[in-house]
Amino acid sequence: MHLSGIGDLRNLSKDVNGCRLIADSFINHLENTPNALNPWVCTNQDVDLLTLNLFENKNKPLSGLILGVKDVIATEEFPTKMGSGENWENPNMGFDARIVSEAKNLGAVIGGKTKSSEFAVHKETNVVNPHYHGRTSGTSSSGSAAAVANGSVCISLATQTAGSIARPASYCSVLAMKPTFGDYPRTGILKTTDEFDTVGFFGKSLSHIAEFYFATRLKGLNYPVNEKRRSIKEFNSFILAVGDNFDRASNQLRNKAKQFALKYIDKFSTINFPLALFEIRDIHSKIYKDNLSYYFQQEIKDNRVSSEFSSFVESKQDTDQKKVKDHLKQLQNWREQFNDFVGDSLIISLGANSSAPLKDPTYDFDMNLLITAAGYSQIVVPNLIKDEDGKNVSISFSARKGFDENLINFLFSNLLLD
Amino acid sequence: MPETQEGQSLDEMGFCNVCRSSEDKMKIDWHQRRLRLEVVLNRAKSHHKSDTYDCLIPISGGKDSMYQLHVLVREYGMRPLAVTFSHNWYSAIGMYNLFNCLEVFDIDHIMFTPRRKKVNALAKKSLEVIGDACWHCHAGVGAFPLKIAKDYGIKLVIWGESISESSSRGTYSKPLFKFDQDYFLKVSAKVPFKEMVTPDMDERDLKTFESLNADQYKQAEIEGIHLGDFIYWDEERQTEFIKREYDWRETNVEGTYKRYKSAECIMPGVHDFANYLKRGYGRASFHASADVRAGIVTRQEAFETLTPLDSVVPKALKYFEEITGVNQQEFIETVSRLKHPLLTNTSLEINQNDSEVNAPSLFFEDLKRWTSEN
Repeated sequence: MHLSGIGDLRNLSKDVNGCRLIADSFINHLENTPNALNPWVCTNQDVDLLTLNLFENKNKPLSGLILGVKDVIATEEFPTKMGSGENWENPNMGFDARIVSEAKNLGAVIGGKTKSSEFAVHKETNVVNPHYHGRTSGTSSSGSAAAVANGSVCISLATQTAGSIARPASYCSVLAMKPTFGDYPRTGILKTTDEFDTVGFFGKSLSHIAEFYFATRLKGLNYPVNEKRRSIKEFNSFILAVGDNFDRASNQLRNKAKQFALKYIDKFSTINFPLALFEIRDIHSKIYKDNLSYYFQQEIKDNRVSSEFSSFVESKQDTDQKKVKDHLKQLQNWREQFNDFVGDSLIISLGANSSAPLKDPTYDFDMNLLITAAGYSQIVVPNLIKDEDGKNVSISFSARKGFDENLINFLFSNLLLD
Repeated sequence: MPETQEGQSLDEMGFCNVCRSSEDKMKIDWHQRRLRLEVVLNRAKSHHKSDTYDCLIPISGGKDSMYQLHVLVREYGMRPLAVTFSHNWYSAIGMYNLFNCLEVFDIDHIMFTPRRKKVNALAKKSLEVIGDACWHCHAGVGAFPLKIAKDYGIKLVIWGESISESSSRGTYSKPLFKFDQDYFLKVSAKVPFKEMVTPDMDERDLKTFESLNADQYKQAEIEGIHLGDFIYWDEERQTEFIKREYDWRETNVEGTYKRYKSAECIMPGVHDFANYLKRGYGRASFHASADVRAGIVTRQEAFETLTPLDSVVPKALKYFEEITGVNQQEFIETVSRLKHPLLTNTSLEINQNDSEVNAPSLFFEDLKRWTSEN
């Protein structure tokens, strides 16, 4: 496997001059980015300190890597405002989330916090799309997407509850991975929905993503479920999941996705999922709103949320313990059906329904919701097809839980990504 | 966590106290708490009556002990007296971890080990009275360090994990107990030493397990704190840290799939199997719940793959039979008499242990074998 991405940084960080080069590059990039385009909430702008941090962490697996961290992930050295400005009562959390701690142990240095939607939900951020100014960069994880897309950092941490990594990746033309649910603990990360919140990241290249993933994912005997579901194998079939049932994309875009798939895969089948599988839209919505109204009840009560957030949450139906249990049971049944249907296939779908739309779009249903609800592994690859206006749209590759390595291998060998 | 957990209450969403406490942690200013900790530690450093020690740290050699020592000795420069009340059920790994602590941090240490026959008799009595085999440990780890603190004039005693972390008997925003001389009696031992008297063991024999009384505690001016109330407690992150930095070691632990909890003892499987018989869940469910909260597994995966371990009879139950004469059937019947009311009409599945892993053995037995081999 070709893994040069972080390896180059690691080599560079072996001496102090190399560390200074990396630090200078990061800070020059920040200084040369107009404020209006800045995807960061706050950053480390002290070149000497950054150089020192990099040098102190030399000769480790992630040495030389400056990391962006979404503002809903706790960090000891930066405030964490959960995308809510001054509305989060304790921004000085005083500890690192587990994923941050692990990345730091492995040699990464935190560059800063990236902008998030309010409490990682739907409200549009002010992050400007680095490629298509004036268009949306996506919602929840848009700051992390833009920070990689504009070249500030090589890896930026993010979260996805429906499509919060896949859509910004597609809109900002950047590579992203949402690993299998459970590969990263959420300790120290804002919780919005127990069953769906998943940690992921954007990366400069597939090599960066692969190396970061293999270094930081949970492993070992204390995680038997995670270890058991991992297996290296060829995909036994391919599912092209584009079409009326899966998205609201234009026919032209769907045809391009099909042509793309045909070019690389000679044995794929276009399959119509049973309609019952699309019940996940309602199930996801119910569980999502149940959880949001629960976890943010104090913020809502104290008027520390925006009107958009409030009205989104308040549109939920009344919930009691029995209904919550029913919703979870429905989710469990849906997952069983979905797993039976997909088996060991590779799912190819659109990363988003269109290229980056204008700001404040209405988000239509797309395949990302199913992939997240199933806890599947997903990698979104940009710049593979273009829409009728010549703007980039991503393709999403996904597979059942534990098939992360299969996905990475597939993309290395079939798309010849570096 | 299940609704049969002590102190548990489920809210309108069906979420338990432990889940709520876990979310509380995200809204606490841990930076501020650290500053409060510094005040407490600086006070202990500046006006201790003990010429020698700033604080007393009760340690077992488990993961929390090692991490406590790291924080207090390495980060804050405290000069502690480490105190161990031995349950006398140490595993070889446990003894290695304990002495590794002492070597790594170069600290003074006092250890008390109750005699074998006393441990055996109390294990049997404990089963009848509180429904697990471990009263002597619950009571001893509370009482003995306080006595030593009094004797040495040490004002500050620092335990590890907060009761708000996972016990359901309090949350970080609503902690249940203020620390006093009876803290461990209320939390775990449940009955005072006088109620453990047997025909073979009089009160004098059980004085070891008597805590300070209220006057003694007050006069000794002891302050007891849990480190977990001052720093963000992340058990697995801390365990990874001490493994990497200090070569702290895990081992197979009966009754669960995590290899770090109670690694120092050979009997956690018996303790947790008893809990399963009383409350319908054991250590595997406890750990699975934590993994669900952390998003490591889904509820479905937890129920399918992890929680079935609760019902497996631990191999250490054979050792329990050897030391008490209570066989498996009697053990099950005795503990089942203390079953949670919600489980009265529930028949709990019990599965015999077909694992190829050996039964855990006492450190002393291992040591005897090693020394005769060499």
